[in-house]
Amino acid sequence: MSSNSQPTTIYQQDVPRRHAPITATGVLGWMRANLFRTWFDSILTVVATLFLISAIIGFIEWTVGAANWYSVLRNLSNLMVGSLQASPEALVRVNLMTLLLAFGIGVSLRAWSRVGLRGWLWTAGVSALFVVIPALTSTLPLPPSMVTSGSIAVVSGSVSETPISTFTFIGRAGETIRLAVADEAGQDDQNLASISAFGDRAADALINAARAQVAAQTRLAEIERLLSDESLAAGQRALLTSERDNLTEDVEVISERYALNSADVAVRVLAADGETVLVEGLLSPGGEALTYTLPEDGWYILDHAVQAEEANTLLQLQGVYPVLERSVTRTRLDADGNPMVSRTGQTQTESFIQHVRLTDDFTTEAAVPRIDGEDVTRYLFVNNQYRGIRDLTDYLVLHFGPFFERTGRAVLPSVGLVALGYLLMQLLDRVLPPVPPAPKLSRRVAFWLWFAMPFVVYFIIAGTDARNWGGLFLTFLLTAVGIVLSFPIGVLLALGRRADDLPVVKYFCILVIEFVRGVPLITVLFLASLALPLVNPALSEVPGAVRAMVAITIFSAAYLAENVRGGLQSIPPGQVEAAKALGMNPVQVTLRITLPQALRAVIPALVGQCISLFKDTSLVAIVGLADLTRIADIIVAQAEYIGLRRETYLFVAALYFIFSFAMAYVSRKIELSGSGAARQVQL
Amino acid sequence: MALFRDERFIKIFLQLVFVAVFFTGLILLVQSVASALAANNLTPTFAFLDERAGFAIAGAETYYSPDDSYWRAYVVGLENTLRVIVVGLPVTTILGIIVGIMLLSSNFLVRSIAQFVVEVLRNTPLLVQLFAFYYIVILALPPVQNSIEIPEGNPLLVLNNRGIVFPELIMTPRFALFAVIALVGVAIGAAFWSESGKIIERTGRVIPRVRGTLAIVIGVGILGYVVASLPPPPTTITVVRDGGTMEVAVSESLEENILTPEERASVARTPLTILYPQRAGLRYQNGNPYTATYIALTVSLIIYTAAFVAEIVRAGIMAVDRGQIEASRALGLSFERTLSLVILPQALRVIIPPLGNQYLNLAKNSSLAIAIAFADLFQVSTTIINQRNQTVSVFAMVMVTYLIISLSIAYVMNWINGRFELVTRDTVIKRPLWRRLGDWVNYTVLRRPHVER
Amino acid sequence: MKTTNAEAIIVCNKVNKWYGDFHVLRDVSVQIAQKEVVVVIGPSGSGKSTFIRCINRLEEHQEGDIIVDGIPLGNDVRNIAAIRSEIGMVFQQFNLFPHLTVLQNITLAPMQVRRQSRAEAERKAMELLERVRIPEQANKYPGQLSGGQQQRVAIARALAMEPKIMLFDEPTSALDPEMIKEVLEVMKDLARSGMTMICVTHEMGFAQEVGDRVLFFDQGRIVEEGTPETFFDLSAEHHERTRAFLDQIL
Repeated sequence: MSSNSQPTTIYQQDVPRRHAPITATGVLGWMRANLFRTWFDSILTVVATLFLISAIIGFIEWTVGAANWYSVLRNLSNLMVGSLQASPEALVRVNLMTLLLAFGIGVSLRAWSRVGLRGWLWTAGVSALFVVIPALTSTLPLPPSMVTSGSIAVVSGSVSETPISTFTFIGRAGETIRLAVADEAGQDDQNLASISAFGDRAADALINAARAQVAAQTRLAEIERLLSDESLAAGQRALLTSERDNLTEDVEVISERYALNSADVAVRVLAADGETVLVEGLLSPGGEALTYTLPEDGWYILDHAVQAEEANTLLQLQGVYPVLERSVTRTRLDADGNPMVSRTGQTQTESFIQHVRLTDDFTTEAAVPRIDGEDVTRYLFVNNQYRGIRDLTDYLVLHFGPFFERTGRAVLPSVGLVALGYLLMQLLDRVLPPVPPAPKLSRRVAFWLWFAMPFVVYFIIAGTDARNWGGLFLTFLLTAVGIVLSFPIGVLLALGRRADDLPVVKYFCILVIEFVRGVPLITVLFLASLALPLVNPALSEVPGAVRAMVAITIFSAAYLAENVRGGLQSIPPGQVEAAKALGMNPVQVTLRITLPQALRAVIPALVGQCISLFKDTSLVAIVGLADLTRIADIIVAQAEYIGLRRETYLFVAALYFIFSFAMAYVSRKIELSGSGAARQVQL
Repeated sequence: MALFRDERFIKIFLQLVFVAVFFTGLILLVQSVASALAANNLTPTFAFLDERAGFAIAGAETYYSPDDSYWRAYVVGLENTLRVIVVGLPVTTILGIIVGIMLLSSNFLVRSIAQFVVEVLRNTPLLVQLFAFYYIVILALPPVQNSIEIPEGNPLLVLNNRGIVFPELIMTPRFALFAVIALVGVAIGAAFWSESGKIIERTGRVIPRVRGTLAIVIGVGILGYVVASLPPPPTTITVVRDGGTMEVAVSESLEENILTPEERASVARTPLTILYPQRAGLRYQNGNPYTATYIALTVSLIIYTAAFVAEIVRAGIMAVDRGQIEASRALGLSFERTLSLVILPQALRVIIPPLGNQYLNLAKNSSLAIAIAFADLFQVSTTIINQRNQTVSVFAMVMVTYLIISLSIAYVMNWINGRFELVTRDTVIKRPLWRRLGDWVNYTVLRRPHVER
Repeated sequence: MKTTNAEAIIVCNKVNKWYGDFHVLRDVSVQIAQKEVVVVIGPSGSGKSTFIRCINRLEEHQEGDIIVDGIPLGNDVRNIAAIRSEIGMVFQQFNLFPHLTVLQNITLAPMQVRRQSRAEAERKAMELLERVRIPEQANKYPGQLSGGQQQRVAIARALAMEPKIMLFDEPTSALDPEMIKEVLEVMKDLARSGMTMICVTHEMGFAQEVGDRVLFFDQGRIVEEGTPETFFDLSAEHHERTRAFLDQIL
């Protein structure tokens, strides 16, 4: 303003645009910003990376090498439906319900969302896993079974095991078994210690002893190395020397101690009657293997005797696997295959013992073979767990493949129904396109489908015995019933709590809500199971699951009321005033104006409550209902699955996680899509 | 019928109908329960509370025996519940804040690992976590005779499958002198605090107020500790054994470990002395023992709840407008000042209401103790019910107790929340004394801020 | 003034109201004739909004009488309903129902309260939308409209109940300046068509153009009333409060 005498400076030369420095963009830039921002960050990154790597490696090593997933694999249907698995009819009903829900999910996906090409590819890819993995792993060879034949009791630590000469196993018609001497394993202790296979007790003791021996040798070598150091302090030297002396006293070569694989073994395979000899032969170290094809399904007996006074020979068997005993309850069927009904109208059930082969689903109901009036020892799972660190092949064929095969039976049809529902709705929307402002037809179908769902599901499951409900099915049922039934109660309580001009109603609602919210769910559950029969003795006849539903409904209603109240509070008072000014009465105002808006606003909170409730239903395990958590607890208490808590709990936790995480994911999607609370703000 | 068209009358009438229906239902219910109970000779009464309980409570052997009354057993259960809550709340808060800060870390790996752990903990049931922690971690610890002692010899921590033992800190007769000197230190510190405050306000000079006060208090405290430790300890001690008294040399007796904790305290040189846990057969003597079930429950609750608290802390800090931070940096405030003067006060306003709900959840979830047979309020109560069939009376007691616990926590949290609320035109600054009761109802029940669980 | 008592459609006699202990309306007495357009002005907090909200019972007055079209307003729910269906109201914040489309907003009350058929209600609604000049927005949600459009929908919604009286509670205060005009145009049309209107507004131009009478509120009472010509004439005689107010705004 003041000095316009100075001429303006004109910069004619253009400054060319350049790329940002490489350290500020791309991968390097990201790493700098997210991993190595400061020296402290860099240290954290290194520590976290090391932690992550060790955790992941540790987990994979455990899963593949050591974890025993049989408690899960053998109990999949138990974990899913509990005691309902015993009744074929109930299973049909549960499956029907699952497929219906899957269909509903497919319809809703189309109605409120879109599945793009990527979504389809993902679905197809994941579904293919359930087909491809079992197909691939079934081509892998099963691990051998190690069986000790001999006369010397094997001692390992405080354990002493005498080899058993006769045991029984089950097999399918047409399966080939192969019997041979385990030549390699018997050569030296190093080989013996590194066996990974099934094994009987004596073989297990042998392996353990060999491992101890190998460990002792390693330690001895270490001590010798330390002692060779001249500068060693006298005290240290004395300690090491005494340790060496102790070790050398103990050390004995296991393969020599038991004259391992020094003698031939005469083997016979007998039929289930214990008399008919199907095949017999002499197995010698380094000699030919004996193979035999089983003629029919069922029990066989293997008989083996070492041909020397003092010798143990380790046999390696293919096609002979541990057998699991389990007690099964199921509906009795008459000659026509219809369920038998007692005079009181209850379906009759029967319990009997089944034997299942550990490595696959092969099952027999025939009685265990007897010789001289005594059961022949079974090649039992309890005594015959997998020995050693499993290699990847064995993990794939024993656990990974079967898991995908079995879960695939449930997952694949469900995915199919989801796809079917989606495609049908796509077709519908294309054939009958909506006229605005009417919503898409698929949306209406979805709405009415979910509206009808509780009733349909009720009809489907009403035919099952509530006393047998269990597993994930019960967990879902309790959650769904809790949410659906508590919804109207919760809304009423919320409206009541907001009724400022009806103080009596208001304070009553406050009292109910705060009382229920102030006490733990478990007390409400106990009250329902202990105190309900006091109201009327007839109520003690009500199944526990139904009583739990009552408790959960009341509990959930109080929390739901608070959520809805939050939604009601978020509605500006002008809405009610406008509706009143239009002449609407209080009921119309509530039904047409406040509630619809409040419910939209609290959808995320309601899904959050679904998740809480889904997890909270685990508490029914404490009052003795067989939900997912309790089934896991029951499984690990059974003799054959003792020590498998980690695997079982991990699986159950993963199940809970998958479903509640999926619910949270959907909730986040709804929030983002703006069909919930966001609409008010966004539009 | 003009009356029935009167707004005021309709409201009163509706409420009368409601009350009538409600009380009729209630009376019918109570009558039917009462008659059913009377028919089974189970009329509710509290008289049984004075009778002998007859059951033992693990971990409470030193102050409770089966010969005590049911009431005493109930109180022991309540104490156990409170022990879980009192330890659980602060530790949960600290852990939750740490993890919450990790969730906000600029380091991708730290953030992702924290996120993964938090999601896993939030999306699996507490009961499954409790089972897993108790059976897989705690019960897998070695038995008592092979306890893990850290460090060995004089352990600060003993771990075995029955629980854990910490050393005991006991006061010796010298503690009185130390306490007097330390109190003088606190008094000087307080004086320094207020005086320096005045100087700062008057002159604006920079005085390291916090550090100065801490230095005075800690310095005088250490001085007191040293002074109290100066007099030499006695060389001999008179002990009473088997009715007779004898004089023994202190050094010898300590070596042979024949002194009771009280006697050891009396000959110790310092105002405080540590009693290390020592294994005696199948149990540990000295030290503070915690049963395996207590540890399992408390740790599970802390870890589970901390995951939720972490998420709340993260959301609370994220809720502070970026502009606030920029404004305070623009004013030249340091990062620490920005954090303590701008971010935290605003974040706390968002954090406290849901945090209070998590505290309530922790308190209520402590009732899961029954799943692993930890003798808390609820577990003891079910035992009593099983023995005496006094379902109604015991449940009434249990529910009222839990309600009192819940309402107390709600009251404290809402009071704290009130202190952090933004001052607006509606803020009532001073309330007359007579409205305090109304305030209480307000804080605990009526105006409880709505938050998602 | 063209009013006489015989034609009065709204009669307020010594209306008093308190919020807690705060005396918000003090002896407010006024009579409003059919087809009269009354503009209520006054400083904020003077009770003018409270006054018109009392007329359709969004607020309850504690003393005095309000008679609308011969129906006394009291605690009788039937009378309240009758009065509300004769009075349309337009709010400062529009208060459209965000979960319903524009068309649904307008047809809701005729269908729910007047029990009209959907077809009839929708035909009527489209007519009204034509009248407020936004028929093309019928299937949008309120959130998709501008403030001025929303306020015009609100007017259409109120008109759909075929009220005899319209209350406007600062209808242009929440609008951007360029939208005020479109709303005022609609209101002027309405006034010219012979609707009885009570408008609380700060739009002095509107008051002068279509107002029949101006009521000036201060501290809960009517301080002055008169025709726009005399009221806005600074040379005329005025109450000191009025003069202070007029000095501020003119």
